[in-house]
Amino acid sequence: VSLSPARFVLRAAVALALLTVLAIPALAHADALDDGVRRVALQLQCPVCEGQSAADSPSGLAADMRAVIRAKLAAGESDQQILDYFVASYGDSILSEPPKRGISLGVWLGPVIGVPLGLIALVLLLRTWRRPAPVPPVPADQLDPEVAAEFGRFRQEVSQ
Amino acid sequence: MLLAGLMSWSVPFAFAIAALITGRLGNEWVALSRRYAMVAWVILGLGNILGAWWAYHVLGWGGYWGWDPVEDVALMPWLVGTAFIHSIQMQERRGMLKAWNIALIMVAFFLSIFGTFVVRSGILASVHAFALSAIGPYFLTFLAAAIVGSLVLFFWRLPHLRSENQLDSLLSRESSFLINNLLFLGVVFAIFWGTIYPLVAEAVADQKVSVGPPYFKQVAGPLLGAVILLMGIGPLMPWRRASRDHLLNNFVVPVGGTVVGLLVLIVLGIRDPFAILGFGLCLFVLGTIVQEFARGTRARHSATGENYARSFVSLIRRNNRRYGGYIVHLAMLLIGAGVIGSQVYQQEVQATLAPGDSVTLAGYTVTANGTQTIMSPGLRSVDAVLTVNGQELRAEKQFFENFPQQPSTKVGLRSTPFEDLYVVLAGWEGDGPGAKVSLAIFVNPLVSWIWAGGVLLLLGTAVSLWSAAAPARQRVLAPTRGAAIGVTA
Repeated sequence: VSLSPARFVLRAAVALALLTVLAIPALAHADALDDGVRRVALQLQCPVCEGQSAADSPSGLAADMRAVIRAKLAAGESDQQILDYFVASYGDSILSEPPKRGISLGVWLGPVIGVPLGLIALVLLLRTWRRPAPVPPVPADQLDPEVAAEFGRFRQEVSQ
Repeated sequence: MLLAGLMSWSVPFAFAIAALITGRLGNEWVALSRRYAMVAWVILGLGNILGAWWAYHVLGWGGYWGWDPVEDVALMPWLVGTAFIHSIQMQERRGMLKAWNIALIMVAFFLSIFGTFVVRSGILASVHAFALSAIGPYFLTFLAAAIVGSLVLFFWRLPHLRSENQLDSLLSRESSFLINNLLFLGVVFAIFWGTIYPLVAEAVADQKVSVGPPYFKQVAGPLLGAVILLMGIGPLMPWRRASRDHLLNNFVVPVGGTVVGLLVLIVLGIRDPFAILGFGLCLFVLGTIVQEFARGTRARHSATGENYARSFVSLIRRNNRRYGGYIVHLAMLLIGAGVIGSQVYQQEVQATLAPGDSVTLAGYTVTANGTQTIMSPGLRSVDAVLTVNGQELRAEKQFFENFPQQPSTKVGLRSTPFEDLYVVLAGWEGDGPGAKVSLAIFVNPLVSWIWAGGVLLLLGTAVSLWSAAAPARQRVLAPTRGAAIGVTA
């Protein structure tokens, strides 16, 4: 991978900053910077390893990324600025949470459309399945005469 | 374990296909395949938990589940299986959802094949990947053939798969099962979509997209929360139709218990809204299950005069399916509470310590005492020797002779029932008692509840399959043994 001069200078500066930081013995104690680095690194994928975040990956590149984050946080940049920097270098796929724009929008649309569709299908299904309210029995004197006659014959047969 | 779980779906699948081919679509294949499906379900469930256990103890990133593709594809058939072992009861009791149940078995089987394909082909990048081989195309062909063949059979027999009953009321056990199925399939769909989307995006738009854990958490989280809620409501719903009195009678105590329990948790310092919501749901379900056990025991006690302990045992023995199911639900609550606790309340610190230096996290003081290198045949291990609150703890990196570039991690772990102290050796400078060590130290609350849930899951399933087995198996198996053997052989 060839580095642009600007990025090379940046990495060199970061490495230098890292060495300076490491030289300070007081590092033994966790500080707010550690939490910040982890918070940001958890939102970034490690580009060379498989399905791990930059915070968790043991790879060298992830360590470099954490060093960059540390330097940028120390320089007073906001989380979002740092994420934007990584997106500018690596594209959207560096983000652990797929952004809701461009091609990545599709992954969010799936469940957002799919699950309500399933719900609608279920509701429609339940409606067609619901047993209609029982029809109240018709009083004998209001029966159709033909039906009443047929019913009478049936009764006679049964009683025989 | 995982592959065993994936493959055990082929038995219920074989029964379903056999039923379709022979046209014996009565309830015999249901009773048969329910038992095998539960076995497949529990093997796969334990496979998932063991996978999480392995990731937690060996990968050394402080967590147990990363929504990695291999984890996703192993979870999906299990979720569909969960939907199946619930909806199959609709067919047993009410003769409904026949076509749907066959479809669920097929989907679980296809997802299993897909899972095996993904695990073995390395088509999706994963931390669990092992032994890649060139069997991908065969799997794909097999999967396509299985799907086409099954669909043809399915539609050929569809007219015989009509429901014998209709739905009486929206407030009923039946509709709880339907919502259960909707939720589980919704989760599966969301996970499936998120897992294959990078492939879709690359194929369709030639763009690289990565879908990380935040997607899965945001999409699956609320749906699984709804599943927990339903786990409390569903089992208390009567078949056919629920009355208002019935609802009041069943839900006053659990809801009251939840409110009291949540107040206690808030007093104890639980403030995070997700934790309150999640623990509240778990408490509610716990309340319904405890109430069911208490009522059943009391009823047996007054009916038979046995003492309460005996009534409790014979209650479970005589209604093993039902109470085994409740035990499985309890296991899910344990796992759910473990996940919520460790997700919301994980604490982490990274530190580089010279000998004698210490760092404190959540009441643990970790002091470094250099390293120790241990040589054994084929293996070199480097231990960070640490003292935690006065006792020794070691966090280790192991270098196998044949893979010196891929050290594996042995986490320094101190477990209590409520939290784990989890120490990973990230690096070191120098050697021996004077070495400096870089550590990642985590405090993970409630993780051991997840493993306990796994054990309870096995127990509950065993109870559910147990005592009725002897008489019932003969009754059910005898007439169909020939057909079953003919297909599985």
